[in-house]
Amino acid sequence: MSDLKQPPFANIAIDSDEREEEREATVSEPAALKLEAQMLSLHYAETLALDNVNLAIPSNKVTVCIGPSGCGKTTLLRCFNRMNDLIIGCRMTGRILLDGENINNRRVDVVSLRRRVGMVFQKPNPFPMSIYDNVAYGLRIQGTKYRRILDEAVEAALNAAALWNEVKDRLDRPAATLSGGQQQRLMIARAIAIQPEVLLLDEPASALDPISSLKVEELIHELRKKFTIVMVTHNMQQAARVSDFTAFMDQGRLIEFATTDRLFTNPREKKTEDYITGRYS
Amino acid sequence: MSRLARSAQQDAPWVWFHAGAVSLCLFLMLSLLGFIGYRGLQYFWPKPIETVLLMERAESGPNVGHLAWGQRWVNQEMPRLQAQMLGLPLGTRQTLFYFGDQPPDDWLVSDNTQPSLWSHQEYGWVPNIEHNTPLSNKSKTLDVQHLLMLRLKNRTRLMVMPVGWEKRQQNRALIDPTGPPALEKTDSPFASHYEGVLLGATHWQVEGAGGRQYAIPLDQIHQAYYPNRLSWLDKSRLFAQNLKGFLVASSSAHHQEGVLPAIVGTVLMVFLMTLLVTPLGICAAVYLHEYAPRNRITSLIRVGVSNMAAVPSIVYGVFGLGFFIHTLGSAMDNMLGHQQPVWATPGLLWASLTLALLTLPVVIITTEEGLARVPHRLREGSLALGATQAETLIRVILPFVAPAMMTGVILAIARAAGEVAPLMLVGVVKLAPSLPIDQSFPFLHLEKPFMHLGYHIYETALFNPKADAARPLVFAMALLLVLVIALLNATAIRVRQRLRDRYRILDL
Repeated sequence: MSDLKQPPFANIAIDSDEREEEREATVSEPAALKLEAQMLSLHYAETLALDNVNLAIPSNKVTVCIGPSGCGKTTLLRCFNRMNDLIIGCRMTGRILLDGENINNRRVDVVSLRRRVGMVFQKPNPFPMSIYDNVAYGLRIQGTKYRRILDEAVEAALNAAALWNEVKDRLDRPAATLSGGQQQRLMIARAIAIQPEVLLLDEPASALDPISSLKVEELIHELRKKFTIVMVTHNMQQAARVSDFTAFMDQGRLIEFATTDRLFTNPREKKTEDYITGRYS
Repeated sequence: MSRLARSAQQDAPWVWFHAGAVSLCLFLMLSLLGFIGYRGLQYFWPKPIETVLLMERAESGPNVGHLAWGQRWVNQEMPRLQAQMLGLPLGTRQTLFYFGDQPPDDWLVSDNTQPSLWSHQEYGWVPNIEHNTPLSNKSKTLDVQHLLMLRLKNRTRLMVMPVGWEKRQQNRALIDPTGPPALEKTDSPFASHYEGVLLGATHWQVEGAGGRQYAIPLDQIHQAYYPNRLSWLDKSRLFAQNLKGFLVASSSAHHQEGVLPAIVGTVLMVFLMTLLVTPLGICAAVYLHEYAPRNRITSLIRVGVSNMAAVPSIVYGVFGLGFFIHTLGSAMDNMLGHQQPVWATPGLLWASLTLALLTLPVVIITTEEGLARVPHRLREGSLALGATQAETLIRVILPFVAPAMMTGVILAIARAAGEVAPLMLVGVVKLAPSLPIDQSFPFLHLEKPFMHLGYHIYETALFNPKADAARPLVFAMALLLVLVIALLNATAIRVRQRLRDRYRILDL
């Protein structure tokens, strides 16, 4: 089995190594690296979900991850804040560097890691509490008790998520009474209220109507000033609109990584071109 | 259009089928409640006295008839034994006739505290009272003191007063004309109700069926009335009075009546059981679902817990007797240095503990099911914000699961309140000398035995010396038990509804 699989893996690995130099040439100039995956492989029980991924995510940029369903985009995203730890039978090898520090390590405190690397999920998952309490949740578990500090933080987060004006009069209503789009922005507000360094967005607009979706996209564009954003999406127009860098993945492997402009206008890999032009099968 | 209509038509028999199932369930439920309710409440409705002619079929010659009187509680042929108890002469065969159209209007029924041979109720007339006195016009139901006051007026020197009666009557000139009475208190159980001031006679002479003379001690008479003279209004008043007596009269004073201690016992036990089982069950379910490794041992434990729910309750009773009372109770007595067994006897605490054990699997299973229904996204959302597992559990998961936990508690209450078998071994008694809750420190006496409605029903139905006469009472108590359980459940359901409203999630 492994003998059969070995040659193509090796090829790809060399491939991506070769491209690494070139990528650094294009990327390193504007910003420092925030997150870096090095030779990252991940198994779910017997299935290989990520296969030797090498990816460098620049600071304060929007990096988007595209690819067909089941290609490992979400899995990769969940590696960055170790959410895969929750899944039984999941094994991860390789290194993930956050500001140069390896976080794929048993000694790393996942709780404080997740406070630095926030995440928003595909479907809104408000807690069964009020809008205010949802946003204040992260701060409260960090021990913030003073109402005044919480008030300010909640308002700032909701403002940043472009939701303040819509909910300021009903902060004590259950979060579930908001519409789907509002809920998703609430989730973003909840994530940024604890001031993370990196924000992982897992198809944040996939369950939303086009207008809510646009609002979320605008928001992402704004948030890039303060956070490093890594996002997964199925929607290629969206990827092209919001991102600075794009990674294309297929079957657990990183096929191509480049600036969004370059990847969409001039893909180097055949697979990438097929995918973005809709010929992928 | 026609196709649409046709498919609707095809569905119709199925709709009827399912609706039929629902109506059958409803019918059964309503007839159960209706039957128990009707038979139970009937007991309190005063019945007329009927005359009965018992025909003895002689071997040769003409048949011989005997008269008997009584209130008809059950419409059924009287068995020989019962007729014998009524003091009726017995032949080889008897035929029973009712002559409802000849009511003995002057007959009184008195409810007594001490049972005579066959009943708590005596029938008879009082020879010294003229039955056409204002009594019959004014009120056809009599309080004893009312009756005896009348007798006082009518030449007999006799008076019985209820406690507190004196004050109310102070302004009236109803004092014995012959001078201050010699006070003499009685020691009977009735003395707690009526402070007897007896002058002269202590018994009420009544003449019963067939000219027999009864002497009923006055301090044992609870109330007396003319059953065949009552109007509908009087009957309702008497009905309400009887119902009140049934609920509130203390059991020591009135043997059959007074189920309040049993209600208090039942409710108290269920509350204690809930207090014990809820935290334990929830903690166990949380460990099993959230922390326990998913391996063979955990699933073995889970299967074991589910099987515990199927163990017959009497087994729990035996365990409670053997472990809680004989082992734990004795150890506590030794430790606390009691000479007499205090904890090593059946009591409220042990009964509650036994029932808590009995209902524990229900709470664990329901809570675990609730935990399994928590969307994974909710958990992830909290963890992704840097919450630990414990913080996630307490702040997000448990509030979400609270209604499911309440469902478990509701099921536990429903099961525990109706359970009788294990209680007979671990704490329930037929007659408790005092309530387990009172005003003396420490207010709640966990070591005391208590009364329980379910057991009371069992006791009354089977071990009552007059089981036939007590049968309507059994229905009344069954109705009460249903009402008490319904009330307990309604409270729990209300709590659950409030939790649901509070933690409602629309789109999850």
